Amino acid sequence: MVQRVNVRHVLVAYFVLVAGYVYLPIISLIGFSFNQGGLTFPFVGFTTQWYTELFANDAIIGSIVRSLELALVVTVITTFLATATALAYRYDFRGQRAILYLLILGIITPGITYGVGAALFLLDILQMDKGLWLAIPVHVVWTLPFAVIVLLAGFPPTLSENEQAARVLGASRLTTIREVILPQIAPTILGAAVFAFTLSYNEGTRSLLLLGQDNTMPLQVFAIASSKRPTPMLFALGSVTTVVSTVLLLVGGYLVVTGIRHAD
Amino acid sequence: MCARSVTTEAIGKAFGNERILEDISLHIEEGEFCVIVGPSGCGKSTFLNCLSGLVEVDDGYVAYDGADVTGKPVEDRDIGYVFQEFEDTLFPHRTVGENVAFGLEQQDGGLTDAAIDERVEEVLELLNIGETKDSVPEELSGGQQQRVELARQLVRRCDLFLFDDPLADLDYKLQKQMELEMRQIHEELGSTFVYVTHNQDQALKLADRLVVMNDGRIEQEGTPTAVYDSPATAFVARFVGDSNALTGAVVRAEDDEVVVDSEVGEVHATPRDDVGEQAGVVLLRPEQMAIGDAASGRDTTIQAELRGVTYTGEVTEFSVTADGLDREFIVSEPGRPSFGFPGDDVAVGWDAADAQYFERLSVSDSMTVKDIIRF
Repeated sequence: MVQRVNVRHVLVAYFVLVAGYVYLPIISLIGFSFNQGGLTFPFVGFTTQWYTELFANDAIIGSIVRSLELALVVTVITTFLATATALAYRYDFRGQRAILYLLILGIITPGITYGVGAALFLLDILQMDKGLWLAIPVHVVWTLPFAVIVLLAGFPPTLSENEQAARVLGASRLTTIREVILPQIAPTILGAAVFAFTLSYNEGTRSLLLLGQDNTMPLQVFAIASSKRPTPMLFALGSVTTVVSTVLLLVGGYLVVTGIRHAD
Repeated sequence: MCARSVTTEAIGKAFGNERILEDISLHIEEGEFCVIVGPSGCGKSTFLNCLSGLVEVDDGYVAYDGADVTGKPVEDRDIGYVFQEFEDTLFPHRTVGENVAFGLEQQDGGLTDAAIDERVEEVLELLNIGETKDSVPEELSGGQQQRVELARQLVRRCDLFLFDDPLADLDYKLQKQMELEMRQIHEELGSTFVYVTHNQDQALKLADRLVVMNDGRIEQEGTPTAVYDSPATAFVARFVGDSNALTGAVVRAEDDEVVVDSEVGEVHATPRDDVGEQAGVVLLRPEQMAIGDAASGRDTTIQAELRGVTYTGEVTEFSVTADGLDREFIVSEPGRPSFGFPGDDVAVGWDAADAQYFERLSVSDSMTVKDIIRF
């Protein structure tokens, strides 16, 4: 007897496989961060020991604080530049395409290559000293294109018409931005800011050679992971980062989507 | 109430390589209701945008009350501008009341909040949308949204209002009603109105001064009756009001008449411009043609075949065709007379005084006799 293959079942199985491939590492990371044993099987017993160790480890906490500080500054700069860029991009001007492609280059250039180039330029040519704040421009190059794309996608379609109407009604450019444009795009801007923050917080390779002693969180993770005796504390750090990033991205996504809905 | 005059001198505008406006000079008197009409793509909206300052002119200048305003940004001009795309221009994040108040809040020497509120309620009442004050635009019907767009401009009591085909997106009934209201509002405010439309019917009804545009130029300007009764070119005659067109060259001229060798034989007409050798067009208004017994004894009478009868509510339109004609003519008669059934032979005629012969087709060189016939 020939059994008919149910396409639906095949698709469900396929989805489970792909989802498993994507999410199992994350789930097992979180699982093992509570493991009393070592880094691998067997799962001996539940403990929060690694989290306690994590929060007591000054080197790691220091790196997290540095990453947060860096991400915060990068987010503010990115949000400001991206909003201005996206607003300008609604108009036709010479070199419009070129500017977009130049921005996108920040995404498609391999991080490590860019990191080497940035080190060469900033440290050797400009003779600057290594340090955390040297990573700011490098991170902005990475986060800006994402933020611009998110903003362009999230702008209400009638923004330009609204702007024209405001001008005809006698509003100055500043008033128009403050009272007509910003209230409508604020959720999208917030969403873009959250994306920029997460991207900067998790970025390591681009600023690898610039930081000197001021390790950021991703670099601290590299350092621990490549050391001789890593402990599941690494998993605890990974879990915290993953959960916080996921929540932030969900918030960012929600803001962008509601921004788009509101505009319709 | 004060009003401003608007003058343009030799305005030219191009987008890229495409010439949109060519040498437009126009003077609009204070307090006039000036309607600019033309087919889509003729440049009328661009011209309005040049008047407002939303578009910069390439050549020439724009003056209000004789003072050059060409370089002045639109927000400093203190004019009203009603957009056609009211769905896109109303502020979605503000209530109707806040939308209407916005323009007043921008005015110098600011009104108090109470005074603004009073003006807003007054204009919403005037336009019969008082109950929508606390709604957001999204919750309103198209007709209501259009009134809000109108209200937030009118509330500013400017000396000059520009309208970009504001009634185009409304349904027929609402359009008719708003046409009447536009005239009343104009009288009440006393400001100068410059109103662009593609609808020649609306243009004739609203205008003190009618400006017909085609292909980036002005074809003719004047009172609606002057433009309708004495069109300057075949294009104007064809565009403003209904008409039937014949083509042919003049075979002989008699006094102030010409005889044209047309598709349906020799017809009598009155020349509107200089007569030369080339083929021109004869244009006939449907209501100035006679059908049936009344057709006999006219300067020109032809035998035609009745094709169809349509009663429009005021007049009856008879479509007829004749030997040599590859299209139908419309003859209209008041009331509901009968001249037989479709397929019957019927006489159609007109006097030379009512048939206008043009060799000058348009101010634009791009118009051919074929274009005029097909229009």
